[in-house]
Amino acid sequence: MMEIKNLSKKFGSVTALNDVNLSLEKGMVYGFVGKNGAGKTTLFKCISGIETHTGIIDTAFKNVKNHIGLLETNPNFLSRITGWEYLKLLCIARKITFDDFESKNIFDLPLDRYAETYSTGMKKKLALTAILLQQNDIFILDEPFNGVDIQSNILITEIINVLKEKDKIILISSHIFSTLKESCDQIFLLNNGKIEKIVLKENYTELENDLKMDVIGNKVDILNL
Amino acid sequence: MKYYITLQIIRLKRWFKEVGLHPIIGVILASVLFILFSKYLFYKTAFAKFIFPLLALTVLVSLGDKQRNDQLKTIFDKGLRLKIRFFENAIVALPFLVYLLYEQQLIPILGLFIVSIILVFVPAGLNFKKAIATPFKRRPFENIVGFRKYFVLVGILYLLIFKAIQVENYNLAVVAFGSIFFVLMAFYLKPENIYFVWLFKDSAGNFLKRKLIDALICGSILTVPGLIGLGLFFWSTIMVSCIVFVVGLIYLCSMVLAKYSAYPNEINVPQGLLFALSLWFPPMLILVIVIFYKQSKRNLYLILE
Repeated sequence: MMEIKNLSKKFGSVTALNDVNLSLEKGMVYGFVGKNGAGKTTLFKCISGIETHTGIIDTAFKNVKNHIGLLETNPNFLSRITGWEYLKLLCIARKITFDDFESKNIFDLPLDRYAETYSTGMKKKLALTAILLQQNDIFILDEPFNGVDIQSNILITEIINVLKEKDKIILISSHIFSTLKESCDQIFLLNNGKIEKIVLKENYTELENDLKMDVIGNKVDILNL
Repeated sequence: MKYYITLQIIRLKRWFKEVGLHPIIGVILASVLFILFSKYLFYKTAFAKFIFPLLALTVLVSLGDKQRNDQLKTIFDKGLRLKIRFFENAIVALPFLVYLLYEQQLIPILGLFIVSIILVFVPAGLNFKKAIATPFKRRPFENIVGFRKYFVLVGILYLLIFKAIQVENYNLAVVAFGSIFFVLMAFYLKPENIYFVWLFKDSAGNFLKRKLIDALICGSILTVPGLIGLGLFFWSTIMVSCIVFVVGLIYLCSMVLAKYSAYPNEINVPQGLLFALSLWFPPMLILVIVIFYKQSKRNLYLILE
């Protein structure tokens, strides 16, 4: 279980997160939606410890960051590093000696090629493979479906289901609502750095309609198409 | 083109500010250091006429990098792109050409001039689709990245050692051998993205220990063949060669610590000055290492613990 209490984050005078309180259970998948700049990525970075913040993150782990697998929206890759070497680095970092990566290469990635030359989707799949190999307890997936082909989307959804069965805590953000609808047990709506709404599965359709109304409104009419 | 150049000047000013220098002072300091270094190089070795243009070439090659040129292609039409590339190469090559003229080295001037022009039109760098094999596959990442970036330079230095052995010139051999350590130090110049530190399940102290061990192992792999060559062919000076080897490894370690003492920023003026001081007066190295270690541990603690 993970308790987030009064988490706030400021960048200078700009408040990115304002008093966020969450209670996250094992074996649950949590979705995060919100406009660009709502604070989703900042929240993920604060939870994982990459960004400093105020407030408390309470877990059973001594140092929670060592149990988190973080998939960034645009995963970073060191130049002149192959896919294989990237996987090796991420495993070494968590003291995992395994290195028969070809046997775990479920996305059929060209592991002998430089990771920086991969397409957007391939980069995401490589980064996801790496955090799965790390055997984390908490998975933070920032836009895991972004740029990934349909086949891999299906595979990622299935991976999330298996992680849920294995009692992991999973946090996902996505701009594609249908993917969240399928995988998440709860969805948090973030607005201006605050959790505006907590939506349970039975109310997803209502949330989707609200989001559509809020986003579209009469904006298209303004264009006079 | 004018706006592009203005942007580059703005970027340079920002960089100077980031490292803690006023841009004007930075430019004056860089010019003075360039002249002093050039004078020292030509005073120290007769091979300076080869090493000096080679230094210019390393900068020209990075400017002519294919990826960088492809990016310019997407923004500018061919004529404007070539003008920009010509301007960039001229700015880099000019100080080197002027100094070579002062030293009356006409053939290197001609060589550097021609290469500068060619690199305007031909993308430089080795852009292998297939990864270059390294001896450090299981020890990512600085040594893998560094080796792939600088293996040509390491090769040239080994070639110099080979040549020096042929003409029985120990001084040249030991200078080329020592220079390999400077190349190794360059592996640690740029700080990695914070993600690649954050992900380690280590205390700050253990993280640094791991990095230092990696540097020592990989540094030794790249330099021990040179040491053996020097030992075999210049046996009478084996002690000097061994001292260069050990001191080189110590400097390499202090470079690793310097990188993390400024982390997550690039090495800036205070770290650079301390490091330069230790190069000028090696006994200072002990104090410098202690300072860098403490600063590194403090910086890493915030990310790792």
